[in-house]
Amino acid sequence: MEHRIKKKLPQAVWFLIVLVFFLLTVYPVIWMFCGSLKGPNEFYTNVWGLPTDPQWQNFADVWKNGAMGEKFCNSLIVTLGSLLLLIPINSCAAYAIGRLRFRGRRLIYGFLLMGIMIPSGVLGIPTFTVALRMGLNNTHLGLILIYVGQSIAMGVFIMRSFFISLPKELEEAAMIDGCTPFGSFLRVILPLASPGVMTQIIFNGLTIWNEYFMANIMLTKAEKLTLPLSIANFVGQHTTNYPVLFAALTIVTLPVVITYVLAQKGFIEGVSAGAVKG
Amino acid sequence: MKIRRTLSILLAVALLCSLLAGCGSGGGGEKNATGDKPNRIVIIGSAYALEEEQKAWDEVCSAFTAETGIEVVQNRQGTWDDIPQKLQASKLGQEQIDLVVVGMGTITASLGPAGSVMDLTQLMAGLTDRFPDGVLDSCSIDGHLWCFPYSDASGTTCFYNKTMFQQYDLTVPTNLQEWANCAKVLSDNGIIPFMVQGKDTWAWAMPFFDTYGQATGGQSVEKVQAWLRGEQSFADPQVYAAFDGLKALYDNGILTSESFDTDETGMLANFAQGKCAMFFCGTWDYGVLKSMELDFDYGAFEFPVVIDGAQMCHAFATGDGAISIPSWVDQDNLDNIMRFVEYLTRTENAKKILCASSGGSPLFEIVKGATGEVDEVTRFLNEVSVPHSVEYLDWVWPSKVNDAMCNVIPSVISGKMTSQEAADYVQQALDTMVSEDDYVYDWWNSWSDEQWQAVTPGHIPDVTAFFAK
Amino acid sequence: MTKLPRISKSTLHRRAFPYLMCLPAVILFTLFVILPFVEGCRVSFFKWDGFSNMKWVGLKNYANVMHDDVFWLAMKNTFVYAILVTVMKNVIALALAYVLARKFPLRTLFRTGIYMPVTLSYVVIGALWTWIYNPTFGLLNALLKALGLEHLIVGWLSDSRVALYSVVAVDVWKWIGYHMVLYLAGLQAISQDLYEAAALDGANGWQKFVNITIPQLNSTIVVNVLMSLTGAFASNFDIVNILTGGGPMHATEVSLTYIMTTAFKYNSMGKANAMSMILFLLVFLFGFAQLRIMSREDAYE
Repeated sequence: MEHRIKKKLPQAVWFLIVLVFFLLTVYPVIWMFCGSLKGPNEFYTNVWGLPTDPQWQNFADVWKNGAMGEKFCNSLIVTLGSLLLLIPINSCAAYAIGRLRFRGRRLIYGFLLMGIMIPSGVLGIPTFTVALRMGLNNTHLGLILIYVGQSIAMGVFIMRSFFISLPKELEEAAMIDGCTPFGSFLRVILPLASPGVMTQIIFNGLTIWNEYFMANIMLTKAEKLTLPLSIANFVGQHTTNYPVLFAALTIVTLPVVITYVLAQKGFIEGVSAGAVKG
Repeated sequence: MKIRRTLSILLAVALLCSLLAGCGSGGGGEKNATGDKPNRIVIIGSAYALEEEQKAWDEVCSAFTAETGIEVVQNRQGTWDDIPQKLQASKLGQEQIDLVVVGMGTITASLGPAGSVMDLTQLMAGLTDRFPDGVLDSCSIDGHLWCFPYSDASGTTCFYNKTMFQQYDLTVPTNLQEWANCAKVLSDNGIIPFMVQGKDTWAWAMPFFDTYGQATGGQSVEKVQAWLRGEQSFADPQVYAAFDGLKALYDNGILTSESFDTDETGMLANFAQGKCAMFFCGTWDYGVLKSMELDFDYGAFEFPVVIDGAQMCHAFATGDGAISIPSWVDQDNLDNIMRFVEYLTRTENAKKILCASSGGSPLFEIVKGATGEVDEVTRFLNEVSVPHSVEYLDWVWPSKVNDAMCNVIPSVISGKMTSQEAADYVQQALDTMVSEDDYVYDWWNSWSDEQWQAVTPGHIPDVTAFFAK
Repeated sequence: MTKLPRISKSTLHRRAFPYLMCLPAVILFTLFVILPFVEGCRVSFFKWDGFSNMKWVGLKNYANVMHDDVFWLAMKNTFVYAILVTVMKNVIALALAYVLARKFPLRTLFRTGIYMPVTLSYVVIGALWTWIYNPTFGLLNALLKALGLEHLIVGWLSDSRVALYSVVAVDVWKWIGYHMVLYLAGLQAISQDLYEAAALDGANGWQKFVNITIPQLNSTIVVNVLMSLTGAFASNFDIVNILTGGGPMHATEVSLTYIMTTAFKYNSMGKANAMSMILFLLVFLFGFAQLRIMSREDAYE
């Protein structure tokens, strides 16, 4: 009896700790959603409470005024396009650097790794200039290429770390079965490194979806703008209409939350199925 | 097998192809080929603050297009801070921009010295009588006009809770002692007497405009200009007095520590909920107050005299949402541009846009005839406050100095720094600018002929030809 | 006829294979990261306001940076920030992941919830935490008052003694979920057999953790530590900017905020790029050292 209580106690303490973190992290999302339903001046009188008179039309207004539909599509194009490019590019490079022996491997790895340490803040205009010289300013393709390029350093680093943790014998086994080098990569190694791929998707997808700085510099035509750029329009010079801003933010955040909720089931649960056994 | 290998090669090739395909397809460069001049005007600026504002602009622009056949493209996106970078990106991409909505502060700080905006003196000569006297002064430097104002002017002022004052039998303070007495009564009743939006760092310079104006007898702008030219040091008794005046607010319990962590919204929330009785702000907050359903009366009052023997002196300027022309515009489009400017400055159009952008009624008359309802606060501001005001000092001194000021003021107020140390700190900021960046206050005096050439329009369209018949 | 030995086609393909695999990455990286970086390096030798002409000044920008007290204060702040943030993020995230990796009530709910702040934009985070730290309406002060700890109340973002820690707290809060997910993935990949074998040998929970979990998680830990460290140097601009803008009196100024201010507010692109270069060198040495110390390369070196 005492034994069971002794076991339960740390369990209960942990539960409380996790619960506290959970509340700390989930409440803001709820707060943001509640905020988006408040009246225009309700923030001056009711910051933390529930909306007194839910203004659902805030969402409709924001959607229409901010041309969110168009921006939503643009954000989808840019994010999905970037992911479709960066996953294969980073995986291939990381695989080669991690599991193949070739001259210059360390050099290439070191070269790409430098990217993690380059502070990109002031490099907005120079990056824009590169895209400009290729005629890609104000295009989604240009923005996608920039995002992919900027993801390479971290992406290759993470994917490589997943790749090298797999046993050496896998390729040999696959080749004995008649696979080509690329085939063994595609069919054997990559699936086992799927947590790495999922990490890439989650992290890069999120970063690109919310990215403002480069999008702001690259895109000036109204029909090309992405969602984060619309957020800037709701932030006033002096005072901000918070409910409207929060409505816009909820629209921007909701797809990410939904995607994560759906993905994480597959991601974390599915990893153990792919774990290497013997 | 072979297919897989080929696929990887194809991927690389496809990538290269797409890169090449990207070139020249849909790039933003709208290079005007000879003889192919788009009959349109592009105006960029920060995003519209209000839906009504956007409607007003759309109406005016459509009417203009209907009348003249010139298309107007409005590209209103992002914040004020984005504008310089957007201009730069557009210039590099050779995108057409004819008019830019920008603050005079940005022009004095960066766009002007960089030669990015055009000298409008000659261009606007035929339209200056459409602006009340003195309105264009804020937008001029040394006789050169760099922009024209097209949004409500702004100044600094204070608001107080009338109902609360009546309740506690208080009168509006006019000097430090009265203010302190007021504050004591209020804080004894658990109310924050006076707030400044201290969390917004840039806001700390504003009360200094008042105290320094008081200390210099209304000559604060001239003194700062002399200082920036290197003719005197910042460490002088009047500056100390100005700093000490602010410190006195804290020492006398008028300004409390809550202000340090409260931003604009928080300050208004405190006032709206009756938690604070007075606050200091820019006149732009009056629009917010008007839109709130407050259950008490409120009014505006002047920042009291906090330095012995001084006169009140506030800040006011008219160049907030001003319109300017980038210096690299296609000179052939100047006729179209000036036609549009003439159209915008017609009373009925200006009234439409300025009223809409001010949420109904502008506080000040920027273009003749563009006025709305006049209420007690508007009358107070125009007849009492503005006559006691001078130009914003942060439109005179550079941003680095402004940041230094905004950093030291809360430190001085809370006693962490003495006035002398603060003045030395700011002086050092200027000295560093001079030694590192070759800062020169009157950049317009040090320009070469070439630089002037780059900002001078090629020809001056006759605006009288555009007048309504 | 004797066939001369020649490189067969398949060997050529085999040799080229790794290079082809790396090619797209290297091309895009060079174009969109290295080229701008080189351009930035070039600008650091000029005086430029971002609009008009550049003027060659050689090493003057670097000299100015060396003499700039604010820059060094920002560097110091950034180092403190980096260490605090890395330790807190990794310890807390690992603990949470460890607990949530095995059977735990409402496990999926917690895993999803804790990740939420990662999805929030900086605009929301700024608004939220400004209100939480607000002296009159703020939740933090309300909580402290309710617990009777009123004497602990300070200006959370205005008092230079605590401002940096307040910002660090927000950064940690935002990213815990992300690191937790990475640790969860790493933990899932550890074979249960190892734990069972250890249990047979009589190891307790803590010993299992130290002797099995940590070593097995080595690469995951390296990734997480590197990300938190470099994040503190290269990606914390938004969070610091929206909360304090670098104030009060540069107490929360980090290298990125100072670089951005210098570039876009003071229009000193040359000096800002010089700062970037110096920052890059420092991060390079720091990161390089960290990788050397922490990485344990498997059989591929």
